[in-house]
Amino acid sequence: MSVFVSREISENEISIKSAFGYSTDLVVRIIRSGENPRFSVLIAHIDGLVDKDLVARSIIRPIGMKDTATIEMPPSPAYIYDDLRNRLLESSEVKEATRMADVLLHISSGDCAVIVEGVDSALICSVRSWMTRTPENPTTEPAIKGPKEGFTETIRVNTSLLRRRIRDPRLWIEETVVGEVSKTDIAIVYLKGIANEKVLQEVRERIGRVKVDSLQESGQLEELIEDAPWSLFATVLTTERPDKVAGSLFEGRVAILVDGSPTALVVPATFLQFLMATEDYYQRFTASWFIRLVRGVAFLVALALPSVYVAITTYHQEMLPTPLVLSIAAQREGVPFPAAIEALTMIFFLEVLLEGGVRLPTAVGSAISIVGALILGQAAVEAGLFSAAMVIIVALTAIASFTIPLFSLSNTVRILRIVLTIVSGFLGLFGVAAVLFGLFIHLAAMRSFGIPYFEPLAPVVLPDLKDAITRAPWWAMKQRPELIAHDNVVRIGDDQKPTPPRSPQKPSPAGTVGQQRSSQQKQQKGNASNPDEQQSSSDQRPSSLGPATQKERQPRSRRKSRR
Amino acid sequence: MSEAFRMHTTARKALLVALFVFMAACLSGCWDRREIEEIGFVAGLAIDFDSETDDIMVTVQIAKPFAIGRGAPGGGSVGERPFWTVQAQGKTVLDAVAQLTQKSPRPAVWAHNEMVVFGEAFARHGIGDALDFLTRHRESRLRVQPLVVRGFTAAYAAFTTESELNPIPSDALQNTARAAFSRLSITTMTNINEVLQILQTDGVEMLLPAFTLEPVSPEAGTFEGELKRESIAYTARFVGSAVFRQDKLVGFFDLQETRGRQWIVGSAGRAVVVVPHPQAPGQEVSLQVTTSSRKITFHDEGAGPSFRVAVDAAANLGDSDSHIDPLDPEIWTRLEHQLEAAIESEMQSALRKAQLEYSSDVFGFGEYLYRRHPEVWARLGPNWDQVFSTVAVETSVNAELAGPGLVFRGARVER
Repeated sequence: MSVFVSREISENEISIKSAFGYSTDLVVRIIRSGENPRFSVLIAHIDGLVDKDLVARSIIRPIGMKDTATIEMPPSPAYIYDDLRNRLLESSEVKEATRMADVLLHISSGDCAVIVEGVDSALICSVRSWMTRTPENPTTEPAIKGPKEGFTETIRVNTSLLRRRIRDPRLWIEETVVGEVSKTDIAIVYLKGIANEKVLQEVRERIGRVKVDSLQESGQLEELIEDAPWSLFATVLTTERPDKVAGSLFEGRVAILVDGSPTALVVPATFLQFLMATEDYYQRFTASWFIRLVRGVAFLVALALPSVYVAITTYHQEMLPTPLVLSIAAQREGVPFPAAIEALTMIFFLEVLLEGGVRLPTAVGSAISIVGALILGQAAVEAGLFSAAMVIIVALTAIASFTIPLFSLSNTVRILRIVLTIVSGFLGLFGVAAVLFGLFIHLAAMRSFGIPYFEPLAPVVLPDLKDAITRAPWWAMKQRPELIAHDNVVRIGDDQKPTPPRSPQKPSPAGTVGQQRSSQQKQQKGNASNPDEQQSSSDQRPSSLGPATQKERQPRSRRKSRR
Repeated sequence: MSEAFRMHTTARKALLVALFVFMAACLSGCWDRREIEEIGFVAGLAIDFDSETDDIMVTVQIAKPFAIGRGAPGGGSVGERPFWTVQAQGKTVLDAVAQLTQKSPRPAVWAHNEMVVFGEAFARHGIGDALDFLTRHRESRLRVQPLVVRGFTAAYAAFTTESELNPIPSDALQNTARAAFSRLSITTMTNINEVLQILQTDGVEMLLPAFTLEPVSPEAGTFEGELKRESIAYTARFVGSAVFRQDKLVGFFDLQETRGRQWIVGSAGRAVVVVPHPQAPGQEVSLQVTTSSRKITFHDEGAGPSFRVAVDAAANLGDSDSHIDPLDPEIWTRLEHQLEAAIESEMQSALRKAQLEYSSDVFGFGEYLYRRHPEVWARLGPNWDQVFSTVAVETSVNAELAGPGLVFRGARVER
């Protein structure tokens, strides 16, 4: 097989066909057209990846209609080639390729190759069209309040979903190909001017380093580019939600889309992000504030409750109030296993139930809950194999772990829970504390693409604490995460906290307050008293956001001078 | 070669460290492990003195969790008592406690014990040994509440009582003592921690709550190791407090004397005081004291050292046998005077008994001197026991009758 496109059309035909091993879905057609002289054109594409109608209409028909007889001088092949490229091919996107490998890549990507006899270059027309899934409600991250669309398996659809959310040319998309054989499209998406250039460079380098034969899912890429490959914690955020990716871009993060995967990767990731649901940003902040606290406590419960229970009941009985200790002792009466073994067995049952629930088709899924919850749970207690308290503890743990919004973290918690329970069976609360201590050291030591993983808790970044364990109202979150977007942190204009209009009838008490306010607001308040000028004041509002957006573009001078 | 060798040794070192950590966890592991259902939670401790053998007799009540779970309280005659009582004798308290191990299949855990009952004979002998055990023991808490049985009933008989409302006697006794303390001020509340501090402080003696055990059936007092419901023999009643000198019991205060001491010490809470009706002879009025405070001053001029105790008390009208007109200032003032007199007489009787009969400074006058007038304490402290018996204590009460309660005229209307 020759390296370049040959001038001989039959040679090209053989090259392409043999490269694909005469696969049945490869369509190669040679059209002889025109009079005086006749010229030959080879058309190659893969059935199923192209819009056949479009091929017939925009490629084959123009070639057939090319009437060389009307031209006085017999046209050269190069003339025909140029004419096809510049005028005749009715395709929105026409590229050229001279290397045979590129031609083959385009054909297998769903483009149509057009090769004119006597020209050692191929025209590539984009006529891609294949079965795609429409964006559906993201199943792994459902939201009560918020957009109901999720990424699909097609990278082009996914980038379009992002474009629709950010209508600004500063949304930049860099595409590369990863996978020696699969040749999977990878898109690095970021907001130019907000994304940290160092992080971006790191992303490019790490992706460029990847050498694999194929890439089926973004999870594979995640394992190949993450910071801590041996850690139980994921240092790359994964999401199915375009709105979450868009929000992350505005925080200065970089998204990586992988063709064929409905899951986007977002870096740098911080630990607390794994405890945040997208919905937190759409609910009113009072609700989010509370729900995030609940989720934080639930995280600790999911992680440590069985181990703390085991430790206290077998080593530190004096820590419990007397009625409780007697109640637990009464339930444990006759249970044949030590509490640690009991807990581990129950946790194993729980894991089996969860895994069974995931693997089962939904139609028989409800059987799992009946068999698992009713029969196993109740019968085990009644048979005296397990204590009711342990069933309550493990059930509570399971429910608490469902509150963790991201699956990767709840998987981590599932493993750590078992580790903690084993250690607590050996060493009691001392062991639990030791493991948790080690865990915190580990979390604080990790980095994700150069950003401390436990930020803003360690190191403490005061402004970022507004969106950490709890969430501040939107009008108070004036900054992007400082360590991530450190050149461009201001995101919200001044005085965004809404206030009701002040009554013009009572100027005197308002006057004293107004003196403390900015002169601009005072002017607006004065305008509000005059109905004619009220219009103009509301006209000023959008333009007053102008300086804020300008601030976005330029780094704040104070910040610059400090560094 | 050497590079490979170095790699090899670092890998071996890492492996060794990992092995050591693993072994440390495994070898020390489970060292203290006690499954919760395999230990006996001590719910109460009674200590008696056996005068025949000169031994200390320890009775321990151990909770039976499985019986609690089955709704034993109010379960009627078939109900199983939710604890097991076991007894042992020894030369010291710890000796006797150690003997318990011979009888109990579950090791005793003292962390949840909240009460210790001393028999009168043991208390007269001195409770120091028991306090020493309870404070030195790793598991026993300092909040354990000491109680004294008045009379010659054995302390362990307290475990043969049962309250209808609370199946565990130690719990019931404690709650009753707490109510008697906070609602009537007729007993004291203390714990091992406070007792320990008092014992280590000069110029103050301890006062423990005291109760009697009254037989409910003629064949009372049978005690056969394990208690069945039929063997419930006594009811407990709080009757004031036990006065100690050092760690030895010297006598008892009755209800009024105990309250008199509480007024002086300033830890009286609420109280009910009955005074004669100011207008109707033979009729009584009860006054509900709500708050009180006291101020102690020391004077050392003229006729030797003396203390002045001034008590302020506020009360409401509780009930009356006969009509009282709340708008009549004269009646109001006379009621206040009568309340003052009643409180003062309680204080005086407590002082008389403590000074003349027991010469035990349960009021902490000596400690007051030590804190406020160290120079006087330096002079009087060395033989404070004699000084206390003779020191003059002046008392004065200022009572204020705040109101007639929730209604103005009440049920007793003059016709």
